Amino acid sequence: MVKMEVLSGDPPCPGCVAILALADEFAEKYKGRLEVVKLVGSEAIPKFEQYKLGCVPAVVINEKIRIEGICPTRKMLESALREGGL
Amino acid sequence: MITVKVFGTQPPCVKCRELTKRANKIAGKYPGQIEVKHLAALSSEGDKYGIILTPTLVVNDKVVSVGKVLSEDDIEKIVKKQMEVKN
Repeated sequence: MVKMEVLSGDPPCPGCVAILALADEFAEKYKGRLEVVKLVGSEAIPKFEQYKLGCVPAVVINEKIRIEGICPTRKMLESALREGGL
Repeated sequence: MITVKVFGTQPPCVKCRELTKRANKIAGKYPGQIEVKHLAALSSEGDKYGIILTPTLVVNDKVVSVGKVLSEDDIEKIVKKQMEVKN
């Protein structure tokens, strides 16, 4: 099982809104193979600090930062997940 | 002391982080004269200023920019104006 953590700001910027929607889409698409954890606002702070991130939105796959500061396209996220072992 | 508050998302998005970075850079040019704080827009402090867009820049309790990443020059102009008012 691949774990994808999606960190978003509060209030969400347009990129954060889009990435959360994308996370839901991928959770459905890869049900049983992908664990999606959405962290928004203050609940994202501990992980934000743990991964030493600089800004959101961010995607961390199996504890490795894959995307930071932008909302990825579907293709980009697919590639990141493939690199992450999906 | 000039107080510069940057209200942004929590954790910071790219724009909020950039505005704080620029404000800190200007503060570095005037040691001991400018204090920069990055604050959450959705907070009691943010409510005081009626933040509706991020990033919002507040200088000495006055909202000076909303939803924009000001250039370093613009931030410096605003801060210098405040310094003149104080003197």
